[in-house]
Amino acid sequence: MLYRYKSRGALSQLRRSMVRNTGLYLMSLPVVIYFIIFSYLPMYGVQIAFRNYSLTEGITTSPWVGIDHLRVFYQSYYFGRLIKNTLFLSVYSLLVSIPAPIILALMFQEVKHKKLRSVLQAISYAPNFFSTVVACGMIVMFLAPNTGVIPTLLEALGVKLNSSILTNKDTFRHIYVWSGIWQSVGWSSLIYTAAISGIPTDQYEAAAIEGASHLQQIIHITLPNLAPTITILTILAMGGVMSVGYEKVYLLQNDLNLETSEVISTYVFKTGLLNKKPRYSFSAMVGLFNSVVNLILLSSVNLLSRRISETSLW
Amino acid sequence: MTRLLSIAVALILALSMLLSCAVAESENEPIEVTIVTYSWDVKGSANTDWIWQKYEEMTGIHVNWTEIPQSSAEEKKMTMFASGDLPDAFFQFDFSVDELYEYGQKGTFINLNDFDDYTPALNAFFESDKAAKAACVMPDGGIYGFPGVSYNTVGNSLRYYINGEWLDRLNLKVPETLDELTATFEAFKTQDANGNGDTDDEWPIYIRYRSFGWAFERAFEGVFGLGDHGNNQCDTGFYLEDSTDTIEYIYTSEKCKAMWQQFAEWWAAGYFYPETFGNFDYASWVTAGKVDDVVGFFQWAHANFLYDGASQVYDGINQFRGGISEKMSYLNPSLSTVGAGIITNKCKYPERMAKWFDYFYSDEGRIFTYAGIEGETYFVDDDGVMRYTDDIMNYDGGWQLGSFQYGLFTYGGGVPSLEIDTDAMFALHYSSPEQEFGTSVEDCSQFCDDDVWPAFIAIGDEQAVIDTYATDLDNYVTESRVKFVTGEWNFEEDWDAYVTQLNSMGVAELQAVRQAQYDRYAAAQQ
Repeated sequence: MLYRYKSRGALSQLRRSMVRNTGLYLMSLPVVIYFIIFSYLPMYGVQIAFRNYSLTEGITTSPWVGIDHLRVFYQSYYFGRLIKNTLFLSVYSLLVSIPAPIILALMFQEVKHKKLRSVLQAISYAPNFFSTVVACGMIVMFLAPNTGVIPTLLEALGVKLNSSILTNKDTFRHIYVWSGIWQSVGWSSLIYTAAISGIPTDQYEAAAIEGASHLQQIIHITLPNLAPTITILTILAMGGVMSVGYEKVYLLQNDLNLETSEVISTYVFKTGLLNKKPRYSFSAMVGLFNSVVNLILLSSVNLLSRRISETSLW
Repeated sequence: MTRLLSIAVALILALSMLLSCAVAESENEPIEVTIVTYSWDVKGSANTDWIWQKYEEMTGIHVNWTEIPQSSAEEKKMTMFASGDLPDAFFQFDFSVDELYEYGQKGTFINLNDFDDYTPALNAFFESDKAAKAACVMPDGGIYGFPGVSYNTVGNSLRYYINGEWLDRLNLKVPETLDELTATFEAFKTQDANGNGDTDDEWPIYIRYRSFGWAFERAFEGVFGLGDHGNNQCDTGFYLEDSTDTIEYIYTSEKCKAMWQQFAEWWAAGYFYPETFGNFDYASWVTAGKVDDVVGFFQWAHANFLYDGASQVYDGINQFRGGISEKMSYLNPSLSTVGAGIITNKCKYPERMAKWFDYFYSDEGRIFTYAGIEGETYFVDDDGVMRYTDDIMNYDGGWQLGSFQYGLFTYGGGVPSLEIDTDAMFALHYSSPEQEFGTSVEDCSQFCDDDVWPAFIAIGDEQAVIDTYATDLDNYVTESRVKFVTGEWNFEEDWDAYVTQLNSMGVAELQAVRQAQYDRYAAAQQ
């Protein structure tokens, strides 16, 4: 996987490699089959995005309509807002969720008491195991006026709330992003913790002898060593920019915050499934549009990264 | 030659006699069919239901029930139709009118017109209720399903309920007009209605999460002249303007403005629970106190939705007077389901199957499906009234689930049947509409329009037009409603811009479709 075949003689090289490593190829076979069956074969269903799909006519026989559905989506009143909200939410959460686990990992590194550190880590990644529904239920309860923890605290501090926090369209994005951090930061910091522990200690020792301060050690040793990990995780995250998961947004959504909370995935969910007359083809087209944008983003960030830092997914 | 011919004729005659004998004999010949229906958590399999065993004895038709949970029905439907692996029939399995029409036209569902010799009871019903027939006849003239019918207008509507204890404590009577309702809210809000000494812990209006638009507002549309023709009409987003006799968009009308102004007035006065539009959790709210200490006014089908026993405390209201109109707008037509029973083209015995369904519409069949068999599921008391047996009445989950254990048609809705007379239905379980809903069928019917629309059917390109415009319009209305009601937008400054915005989003195109649909419906009524 790591080395690329030259185009000439690639086939014969592959054949030779297969003969030499039969066992390894056999072991990878189930995974390949899994992806063919569950990821590639179902792709033929994508064609309903270009058809007027009806249940009786089936996937391959419904009439073709070309990109009509895309045009309807593009001309829709909500097109601009959906793109804006989706991008805003995901870019905002990217900006916060990339540095946050790094910082947390660095902080854990500084806790020298081993027991205390593992207890703290366990506490920090526990919320990762709550399902989205449970997490949203907790958010709603924490923020509920009259009974919620946070409004009660704020009131005790003398902050007067005019309206409930969740029904305010200006606070929705912050709640979404920061509750996401609360849930995921501990878990995502694990991978950095692992990377940090892999840094040879002699580098630090050498730096200490040279008289580097603690902060300088972090900046000149820890961070450069983490760079490849950070890059890969960032590229992967970029691939999901347009796909803000619908469950959490939908569960925190209400009529009052729609203006900032309606994103492409909730729109697809509502028109495609919640509608009394589900618009299969239309929502398939919107979903496809989403995926294509994601693919383009992922590839271009990957390309950029390969040019600049030589770290890339492929 | 002539001899040969006469022999042939004789042979044919003999054959046909034989055949007709065979047909006559096969009348109750045991056959097997497969029917798809829902599975229910509250009851065992239909394959062991008392009612279907009795019905098999009567008809000789053995049904193999295929039961599918309601939650995965849509998915199963898709695979069934995609693979062509269809059952002989569908029972109580929800198909929308559009699906019914689509599959009917394609010949997947049989046209009952071709079998009308076998459906005398259904024909008689259609003869007695022309509106019901108009709803069942598709635009191509075909009838593709057996309908589900109930004349229980009380049960077919979403109703208002008001806290009777609070009224008594404040010495008020049940409000009848909108003004009296507002005055009552004011009293609930400012006086200590629950009598605990705190004047600030009562919320006059409770609305279920995410149901302001389609439930609360829809019931009030009747007061503002926007919902004379019932729930299906409101659901289209359009209403019939009497002054011009045309179909008009509800949400850009002056009547709608008046309605929202009323809501906005109530909002400003603090009658709504402040989290009405939020994600508030009903359970955590009511556990703060006893429900009837908190909720003054709500609406739903049955009062017991709020909590078991709420119908003892809350008084039912049909509709408020003193508005532009006084019709119940959240009212479903007596014909609630068009395709409650469906025979597919895979069925080898469509005649027998048609007869099998048709019995449910006959006088005996109606008693059989709702009351069962005398001596087994019901008895006739000294006054000649049918009552369920103690076995049903004493069932743990109440009479409804009790009767459902036998497979009677009393649970779940959307059954191919003609419900027995409403008072008799209530008497079966020792009750009456007055006891349960606080109104009689007669009182309620004063508020019901004669012309409660069925769901209209889209033909040709109409569905595409609806698809293109309706969703975005609905979304914009949902968002704007909240802003107007909560005062973020005000009616003087923002209403015109709001109307202009909606108009630019395709109101006219949608209106043309709805008008055409209404015209077809009106013509079919003639």
